[in-house]
Amino acid sequence: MTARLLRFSVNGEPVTVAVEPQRTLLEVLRYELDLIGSKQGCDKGDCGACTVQIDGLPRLSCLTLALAVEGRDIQTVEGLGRAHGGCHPLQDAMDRWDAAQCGFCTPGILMSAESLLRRSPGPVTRSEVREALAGNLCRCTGYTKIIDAVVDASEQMAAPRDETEAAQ
Amino acid sequence: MSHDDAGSKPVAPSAANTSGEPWLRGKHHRKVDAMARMQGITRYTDDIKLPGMLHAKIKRSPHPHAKIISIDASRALAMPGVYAVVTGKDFPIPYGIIPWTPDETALAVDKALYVGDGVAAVAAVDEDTAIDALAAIDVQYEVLTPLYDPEEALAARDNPINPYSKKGNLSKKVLLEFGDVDAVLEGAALIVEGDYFFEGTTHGAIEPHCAVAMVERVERVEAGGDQEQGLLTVWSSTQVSHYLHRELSRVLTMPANRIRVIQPPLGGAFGGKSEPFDLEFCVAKLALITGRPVKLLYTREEVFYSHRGRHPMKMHYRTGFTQDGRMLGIDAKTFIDGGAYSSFGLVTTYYSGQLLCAPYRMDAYRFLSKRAYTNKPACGPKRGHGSVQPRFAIEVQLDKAAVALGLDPIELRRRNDLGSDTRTINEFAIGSNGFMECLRRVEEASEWKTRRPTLPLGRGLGVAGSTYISGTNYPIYPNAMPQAAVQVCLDRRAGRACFRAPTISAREAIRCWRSSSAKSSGCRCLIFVCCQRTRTCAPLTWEPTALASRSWLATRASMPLASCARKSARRSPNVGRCLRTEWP
Ligand code: FES
Ligand code: FES
Repeated sequence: MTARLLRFSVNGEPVTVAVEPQRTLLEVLRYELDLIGSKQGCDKGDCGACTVQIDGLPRLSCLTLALAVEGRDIQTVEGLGRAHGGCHPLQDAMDRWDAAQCGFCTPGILMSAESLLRRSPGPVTRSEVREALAGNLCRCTGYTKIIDAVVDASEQMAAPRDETEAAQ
Repeated sequence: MSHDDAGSKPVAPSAANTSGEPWLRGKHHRKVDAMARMQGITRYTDDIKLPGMLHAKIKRSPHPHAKIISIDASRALAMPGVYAVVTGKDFPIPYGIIPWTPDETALAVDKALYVGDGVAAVAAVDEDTAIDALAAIDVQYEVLTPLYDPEEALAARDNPINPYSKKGNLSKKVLLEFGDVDAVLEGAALIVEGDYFFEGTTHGAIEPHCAVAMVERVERVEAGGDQEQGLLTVWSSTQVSHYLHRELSRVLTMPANRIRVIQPPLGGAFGGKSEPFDLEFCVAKLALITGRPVKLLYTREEVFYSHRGRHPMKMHYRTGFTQDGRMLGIDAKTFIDGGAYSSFGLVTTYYSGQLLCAPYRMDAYRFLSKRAYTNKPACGPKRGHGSVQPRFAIEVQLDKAAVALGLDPIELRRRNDLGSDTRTINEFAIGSNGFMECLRRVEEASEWKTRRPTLPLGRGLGVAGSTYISGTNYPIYPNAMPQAAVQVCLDRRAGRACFRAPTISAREAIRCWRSSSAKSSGCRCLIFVCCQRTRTCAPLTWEPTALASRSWLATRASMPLASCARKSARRSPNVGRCLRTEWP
């Protein structure tokens, strides 16, 4: 099929890429733009590993045709830490809580969770986290630590505390 | 208690170890590689992209049991963008993860044994072309009667499923008896008898299997032959790079020193990637034929076909108890549904009985386990390999006994304490034993005594005990290959070491070793986790002890490695030679 030019923004940068109409956003991100952070777990909308944000909302990039994001703003896990010196408080909390084991589901989980935190004014509750992450499967962790970490990050972002001191 | 209850908020772990703090034993440390995984930097197998790379796909049988009459790939090969097609005839040599049961071929040679069994593979310029080419490969089948039930399969001796099976559809039988079971059951005050069926499960790692192969042509290095094969590198999302290396060499009839297997970081496995699969042989062969790098990524559907999940088991158990709840003996009979190939089935069959003898004491035990071939995807190891199914049966029997004897289920388990510094009925040595402490804490934390009687219909509290073997210092089967290879080298800056651990457990091993050695030796360590580089490092491969491929075994066993390594380094004539340690 004939490729068309697609213009959109990825992590704040403008991108132009030639795309065949049947290509998914996930394929374009991973294989054309080499943004390997978004993962393909099932390619059919079941696992959430491919979750990215389209105009700030979590979306499954394996179910999104690339040409449908013309002019839209895409955020992937690669851009998550940019405004935070490379490490978003969510990533830091997930690291402290041991919430990433193999890490294959983690980029998708981070993108779902970040969207939740950005839309919530203060600390989030466990049930809000569960709701927000309902579309993200993790086979390693059993979810508990992930929920712990997201709640912790939301508290940390609402009222920053010195983790190093808290640890002593 | 579940952390999911609002209010029971656990304490945030410390943030230690971000800024070059020393690694100390007993201190909470961050994972060595989790942040890179979270930042999307870590390169998993499917993230490898090589210049000129072709994409491969496998054509799979739509029939559960069928003879292959003919395969015609001429239409596919004529398509633009199609580079090569391979079939079972290209890999006639059978292999198996357990060397005693080689009963599997990379692609079906004469028969397809389950829906999804690979029959041909194609390499093309991209995935879409490869998928189109699969449709253009014409396969003629003669459909045979499929067998799905292990007992039926065992009875159908004249319809053997696997062409390499020696006894009809019996894949493995184990009968072991410890003590006089019939006598103790005879004298029992209570016999609990029942049938239990475990349905089988699959691992469902979020990363689908993927493999990439590349061939480097080399100068003629030796007279007489294999130089045109070049050097083959296979990256695979495998848990067992050594076994894959061994089987690639066998099936491709290539010397092992011409093959390099690299295990990139894994996106979960749980036992589901612990043996070679069709995709690794296919990419390797297709790369050898085409001279181009070849990648194959399973679809999620193909992950289910490759399976190797927990075996379905039909279990019949008879357990005898005294009036005061002491377990006297167990008589266990188990039919195991193995699927089309042996996989680790020999081990599973053995484990299905042998792992039952702790954490409870008993006077006698007998088990008879039979694993059958059936026309389904092969079953294999999944975390808690072979022990989960029988555990379900025995724990249900304990609960039934507790009801019959009017005992609390935790109290009944307490009365059967195995104790420490002892041996199980089947001669497993037990050192320390924290099971009683564990039960006490569970009882407290769950508010067992107060909550249990008050829960409404449909809600309940249950308890079950379990054990698993570890640190046995014995590989799954005796063989000349290392279960894990660790290479340590002291360089001229005295005390600086390189360390390699080519298994899924690398991270835990490193973490453990880093914190154990840092303090005790004062030796500063530079640690690299990377690939098995058999070709470049074979002379330096060092086998201090048999480590199993599981993370918890390696974690335990890696403790003494630091000191072994130092000793070995002193002895080894190779120390001081250059070791290549960069990430490929
Ligand atoms: S890859 Fe998109 S949901 Fe699984
Ligand atoms: S960390 Fe492995 S799947 Fe979530």
